[in-house]
Amino acid sequence: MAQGRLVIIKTLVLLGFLSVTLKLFDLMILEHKQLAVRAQKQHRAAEPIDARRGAIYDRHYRELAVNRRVESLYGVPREVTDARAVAASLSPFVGSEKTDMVVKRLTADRSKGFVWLARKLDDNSAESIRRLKLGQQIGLAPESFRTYPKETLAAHLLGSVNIDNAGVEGIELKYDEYLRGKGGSKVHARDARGRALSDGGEYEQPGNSLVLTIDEDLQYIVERQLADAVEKWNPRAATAIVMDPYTGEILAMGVNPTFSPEKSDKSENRRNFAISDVYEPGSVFKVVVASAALDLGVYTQYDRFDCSRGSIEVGGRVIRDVHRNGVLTLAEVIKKSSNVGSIKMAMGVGKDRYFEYVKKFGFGQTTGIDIPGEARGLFSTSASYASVSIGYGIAVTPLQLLAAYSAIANGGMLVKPYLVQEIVGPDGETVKSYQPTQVRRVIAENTSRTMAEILSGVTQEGGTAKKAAVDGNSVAGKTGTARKLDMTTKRYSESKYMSSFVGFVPAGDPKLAIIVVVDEPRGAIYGGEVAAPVFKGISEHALVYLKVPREDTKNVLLVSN
Amino acid sequence: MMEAKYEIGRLERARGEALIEQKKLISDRSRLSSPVRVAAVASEKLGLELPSRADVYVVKYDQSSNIVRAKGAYKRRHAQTIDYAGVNREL
Repeated sequence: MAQGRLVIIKTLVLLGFLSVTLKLFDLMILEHKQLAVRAQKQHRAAEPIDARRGAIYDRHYRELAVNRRVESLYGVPREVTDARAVAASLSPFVGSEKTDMVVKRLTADRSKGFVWLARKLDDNSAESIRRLKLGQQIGLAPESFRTYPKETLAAHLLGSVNIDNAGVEGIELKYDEYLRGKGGSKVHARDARGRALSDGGEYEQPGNSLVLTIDEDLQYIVERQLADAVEKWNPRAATAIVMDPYTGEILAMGVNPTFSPEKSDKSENRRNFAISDVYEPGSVFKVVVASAALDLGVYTQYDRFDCSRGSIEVGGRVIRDVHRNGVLTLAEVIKKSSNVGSIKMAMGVGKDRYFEYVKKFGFGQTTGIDIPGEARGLFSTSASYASVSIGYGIAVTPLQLLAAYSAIANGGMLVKPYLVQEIVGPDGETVKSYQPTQVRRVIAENTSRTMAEILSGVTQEGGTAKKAAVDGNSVAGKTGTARKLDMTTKRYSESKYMSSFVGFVPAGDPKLAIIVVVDEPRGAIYGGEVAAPVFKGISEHALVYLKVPREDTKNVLLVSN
Repeated sequence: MMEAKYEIGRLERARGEALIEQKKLISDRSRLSSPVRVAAVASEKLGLELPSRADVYVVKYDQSSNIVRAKGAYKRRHAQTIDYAGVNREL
């Protein structure tokens, strides 16, 4: 009997060992792969790394675009029991119009463990959602939000990014490959309580930062002056650019109306009028023919043109002066902006030679500025050179004109405008730096000096732009009042004009080249009336800001010990 | 070894939080120092405005002149705005 019991116990023990052995065989051999994967999942966690996009600074390292951490809402469909109830709870924070979308995403695939419901929420909404206590059905994930702390300042230059922080416009797009960081995910072990066991490795590669040529304060001065002009003249749009005429550094570029780069509207306000829109420039273009005439030695600034008839017939068209003038010197033709005198000057130079100068000044080609969307303008050698000499039959961008005037200002060199002066790595090291680029010599140095002298007359007594004159410094520049082509009638409009002023200051030792263009001003049309005061306003504040000394002795106090 | 890994994990979390705070502070500082905001506060609360060309004086050091002459000339020229920006007090 006792032996029988012993046999039973031994058999049971043997069976026990056998079952354990079989289970071990099953766990270690048969199911090893699946279980190993499960163990990995339980003990290792993948943490998403939101790579930091590089910042954008002005020339004095003041932030124009930075990142801020926000939270985004995601759903876990496989945990959701009542999608409609979840959507209803979330609607105050994601928007009632998105309730159906939330339901659709939560129910489309019930096996999914992750779907985005709302990206980049504001802090208050995220906190309110956290308090809803919807358990495992939803979650909040940290994300980086591109923010522009100066709001609309320099919006057209900076551009914007999409929801995934990729550049879509402006500098954000042009330099996206440098700004974008490398993220992905970092996998680390965790214990039974979920605490991370880090190996200390760095898995994020933050993006590089950009240092622009823009000066935040000058940008503000430009935008404020433009806003005042827009309020006064109620135009379709207005733009102003400030550039260092020697280096091509863009110090400010303003466009009005403007937009907020943080908002993703598709409005027309996002167009960068300064570089993307072309227009017939009118009289500001007369400097090209005058420069050509002087540079070739065809005329001197003292040679005279008979403008007493007040009109001239070219190719069957009669072109008139605004006011009837008598006999004018070349300098006076520019000062009084005579169409007749400019056309006679072009005739003296000759079409081919004149058009060579148009090309040398860079018209019909992009300037090469480092921002997307630059237009090349419209220029054809089949155009009437008489028309082109007075700024019709050719279309330019404001930036092209500014580059041309900068060549006159700096002694005759066409320089390439640029916006980014340095790319800086995450640790502050220079990755790439950009230097001023001289494109070509356009006119001789003495021609540029003569042109500067002639253009100084425009802002003096008897000139068309006395309102551009700056207290304490001489200004060289030229007004433009160009009729716009009416695309419906294919004729020049009687009521729509482009008013502009472009020039440089101080005339004898230029520090700034500035262009102001106002599209369809209402109440006044002349460049000397509409754009010249904006030039004056920008110049006066900018010269004070840059501590450029006056050329006269007014407001100078002498002190000694 | 395990202790070190826990410590690294904890420090990484702390660094992450500090970076988030730093980003927020940088953003706030930039927003507060925006020229648009500063100009608005200066004009609305303090009654200040951007100086015009006429408001700016260049002070030059000149051995041949003397401080008394400079003060007298300044006062004669700007009797109405003698307190402007405290320039007279410095002289």
